Amino acid sequence: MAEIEEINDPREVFSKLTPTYDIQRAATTDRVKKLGYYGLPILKRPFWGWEIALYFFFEGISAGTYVLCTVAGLRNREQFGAIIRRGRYLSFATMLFCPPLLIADLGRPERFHHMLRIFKKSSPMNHGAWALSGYGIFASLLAALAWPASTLPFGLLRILMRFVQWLMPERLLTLLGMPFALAMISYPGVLLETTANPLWSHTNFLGPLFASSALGNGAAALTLLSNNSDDQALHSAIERFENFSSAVEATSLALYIGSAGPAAKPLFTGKQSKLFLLGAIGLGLIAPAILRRSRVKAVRHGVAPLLTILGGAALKWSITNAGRESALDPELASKNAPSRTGEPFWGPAKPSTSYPPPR
Amino acid sequence: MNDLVQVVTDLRDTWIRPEPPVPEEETGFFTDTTICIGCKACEVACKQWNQLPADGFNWTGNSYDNTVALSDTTWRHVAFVEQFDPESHIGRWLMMSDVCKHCQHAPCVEVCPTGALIYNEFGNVYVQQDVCNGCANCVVGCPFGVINRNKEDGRAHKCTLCYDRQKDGLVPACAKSCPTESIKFGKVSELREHAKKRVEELHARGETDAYLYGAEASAEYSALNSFFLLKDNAAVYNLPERPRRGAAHLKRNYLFSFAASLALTAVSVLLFKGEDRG
Repeated sequence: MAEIEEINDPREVFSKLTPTYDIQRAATTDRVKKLGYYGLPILKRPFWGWEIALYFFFEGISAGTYVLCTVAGLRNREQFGAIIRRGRYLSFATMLFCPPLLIADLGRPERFHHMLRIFKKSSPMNHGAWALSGYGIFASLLAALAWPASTLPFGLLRILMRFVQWLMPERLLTLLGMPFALAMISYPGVLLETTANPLWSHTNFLGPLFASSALGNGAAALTLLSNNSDDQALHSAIERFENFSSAVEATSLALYIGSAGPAAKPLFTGKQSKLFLLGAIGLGLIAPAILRRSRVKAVRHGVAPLLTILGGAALKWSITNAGRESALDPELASKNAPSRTGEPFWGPAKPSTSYPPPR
Repeated sequence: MNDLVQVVTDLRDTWIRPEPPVPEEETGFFTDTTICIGCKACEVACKQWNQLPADGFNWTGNSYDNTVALSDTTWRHVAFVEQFDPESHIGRWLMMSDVCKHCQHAPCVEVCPTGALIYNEFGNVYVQQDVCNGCANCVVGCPFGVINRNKEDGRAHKCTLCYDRQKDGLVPACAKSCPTESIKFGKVSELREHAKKRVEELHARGETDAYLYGAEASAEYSALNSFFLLKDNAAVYNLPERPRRGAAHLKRNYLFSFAASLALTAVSVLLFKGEDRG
């Protein structure tokens, strides 16, 4: 694994192997036995990079805010009215980044609508495309309806807006959008888990990790948006939720690392390790947990949520991008599916030791 | 104006699905590695018939394997396992012509969000190039590292099992060109029977390490319509011992994920109760 860094296109391998490769050594037994097939990777490197990582971040913060605003609106719309309106605008603004990022990631961007040709039960990416389409409509509608009619410039517009607001009751719309928003929160981790990439797939806890990070990010965004409010009930509700969601996130993270085992190695030793350990865990989880207890309001309601949000971005960035390193490990790729016995699906468990025969 | 009409027609055609061809008996490959001589005729025939671009002329030092791996432009790859003791000069040479496994429950088909990857009427896994939008989910889905996205045309490519030749009743190019019939093409049911007999024959001759890789389903993985006769542990040939089928874990993954998001939403319902204005 150490000798070859990246292989998607076999042509890349040549340029790396040719100058230093020792033909004599390649033909000896120990090299073949130790590394499988010349240490070459079995899996292909994922193409998913910065676009998908940023998409996970934006859609998480958008849908997280949506869910919390909806809950707040259903519980006490009058008291939380101001923060809900701001939250709706934020949901809409962050949602706007999602489609362009997803389309930019495609090999054939002009065919993005092919995702919506069918509904496919077994494809999380297909579920995501439908969820984003539905969620996008509701997030946009609710942001538009949140605009107070009284501030519109013309009398006719004001009447029209009031009519539309009366026609489409906000409460009903928020509820209709909830399944889509919850799907948006829950599916990104599952998308990564339903692959053959060891770092992403050797676990059930990537879904909960991304889901709790999305809701935590949403709560942190609401804290920033309610910075100038003196509503103590609101502050304490968001703060207690942030504590709760970061506890769930930390637990999911521990369970993820624990269940992935050796497959999680790229997060600790690879190119993404600094961002993961310092950014996602240090600044994104531990620091805000401490700073939320600060007596200084600017730290409690400013620095801490900002770090949570940056930590969410670091988490998604490091895990998504570390998938490329994980694909290079032939050992993990060979023993990829879970097994109680550890036996291969077909054939003997260990390479034959009879070659060359003992002298 | 005509351009606009074209765009609108193309858009409409995205959702129009013509009647699929009548399914026929499943076809596949049986690759018997014990009679492979490593001539790479299959690689050349595949490149020629499918008009695949060259990968460059380079030496890897990995025995005679200068192809390295299957990719978007290489659909047959001959692996050379050269195990010699440099002092005693005793050893063996394993050769295997690798190809897309055409899994019966293929992870690439299962994750494909556009429906570009399908099973065609011969039960082969096939990428519809007019549908594929290059999302690259199949690239991470395939546990064998077969399928890849092409950098120039942005779509996923892999072995088609010579769908075009099969349509005209021809044998795929690699099987046709194989001088030792190491690559056999035919109906999967017949190939399996033939392969079992071949293993029995080899066992009777004392080659007890011969076995079939992928002829039958095992644990979470389905049978492979292009399966292999191997003589050593799968990883020696750069094949996975336990290939992972992502969709087998989908329900459990969703269960965990939705449990977390719904639980946290429930907590937020309890917390956002209001009153107590400061």
